[in-house]
Amino acid sequence: MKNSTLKFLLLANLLVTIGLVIYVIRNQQVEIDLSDEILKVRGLVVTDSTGVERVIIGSHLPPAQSQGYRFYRGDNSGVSGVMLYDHEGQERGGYVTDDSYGNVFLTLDSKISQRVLFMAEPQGAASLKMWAKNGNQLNLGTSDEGTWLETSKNGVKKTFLKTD
Amino acid sequence: MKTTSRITILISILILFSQCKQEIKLKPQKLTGNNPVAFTDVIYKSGRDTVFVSTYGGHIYEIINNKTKKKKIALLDDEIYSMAYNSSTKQIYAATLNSGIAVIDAENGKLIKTLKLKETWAHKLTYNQQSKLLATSDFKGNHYIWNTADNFRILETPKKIRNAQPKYITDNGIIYFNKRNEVLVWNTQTNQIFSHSLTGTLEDVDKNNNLLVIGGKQFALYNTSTDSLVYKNKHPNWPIYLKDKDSFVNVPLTLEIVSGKLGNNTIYTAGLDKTIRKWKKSTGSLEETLKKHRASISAISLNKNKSQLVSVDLSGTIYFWEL
Repeated sequence: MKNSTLKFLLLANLLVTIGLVIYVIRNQQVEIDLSDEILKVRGLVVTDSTGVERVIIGSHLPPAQSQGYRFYRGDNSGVSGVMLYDHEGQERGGYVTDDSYGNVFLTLDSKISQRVLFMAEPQGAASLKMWAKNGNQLNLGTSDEGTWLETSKNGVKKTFLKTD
Repeated sequence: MKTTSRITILISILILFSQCKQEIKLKPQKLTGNNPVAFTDVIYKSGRDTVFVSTYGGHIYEIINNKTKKKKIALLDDEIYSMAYNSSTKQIYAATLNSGIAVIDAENGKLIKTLKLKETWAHKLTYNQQSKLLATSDFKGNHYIWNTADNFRILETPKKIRNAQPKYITDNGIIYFNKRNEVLVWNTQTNQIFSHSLTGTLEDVDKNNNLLVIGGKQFALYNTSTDSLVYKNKHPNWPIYLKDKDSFVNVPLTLEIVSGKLGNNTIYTAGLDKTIRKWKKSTGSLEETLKKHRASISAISLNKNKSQLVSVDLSGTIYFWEL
């Protein structure tokens, strides 16, 4: 092989090596600045330092969690929005819209089940319900037809106020 | 080589590098399986001291009492809620969110097969080593009883127990089901069905056919021989651990009971208050409060001769209790 060809191959090799080194160095740290961008995602999960999910923004949201398992919300119960989880990863509330009836609602949950429901329905009715597991309940609401206030103790209605 | 071709090659190399772009791929994520520390279930592998635990992240680990390191057995791309162990075939049965019931080789962690469910998913498995029956139900009310010794053949159940949830299987193949306000007992050999009227979730059955039922903040012991309730009880208080003082303050509130087991002379109940209570079975009086857990207890299990209890919680902590 000619001496000049060897020199050329050496030069080409040198160029390739330098190119690769530059490429590796330049791509070692990739900094992406999205502060001026619009993100379009199906879901966003915020986890704490132990990896437990604390906030999920999603469409659709996963089934609700109980003590070591997920339970089924029921038919036509797909919801999208924001869900909050405590430090043990248990669902404690959400601000969501549902797919079937078109309600928007805010829920607050105990460790076991839902306790507060604040809801606006598509036809205009709005209600706030709070309840314990033993049938103690407070229910107030309003619609184009009237307003109501209802309290119950152990499942028995104690007071009821309705305006037409 | 001619000068022009040399220049062409050099320019090509330069163009190649100038066009190089780093492609960034995002790791695929799911909205489930994000709670990696929580233990969801615990079952005994051996007579005592060795257990399997499962996680939301799809892991199954083997843990030995007094050994800090856990051994990874399997990793499923799914959440695991409940397990059962067949010690003769060395297979783990795992109830998952999306894959039905996974049958896993406990020796090498390989997925052998999956038992499909008709709808939704199951969160509780029950299995008996003697009768080799495995049972569960999905959230739509369909139940499934497999004979694991007969290539997982599904047992046909009588109409009366349709939509009932299998909760406990005895050595001779008697299956206890939960249905609204009753417990149904089906003898798979004779096809006889007995019914007991009681509310709550059946948690355990002892050798005298006493039933442990939990519902909300209460547990109840039910005697099937006399068809009567023996007693009801609840956790009397809520001991809250104060970390900075390393002490407890007993708040006079009762929280829900999440799990329970029947020992020989003792009842064990785990509550949302993060305690396990020991109750004298004959009287229902509280004997002891076990307060080591600092997170919600997700599962408890008794070994076969009921001399050891194991409990796991949502912070990934496990305790073995000598009874």
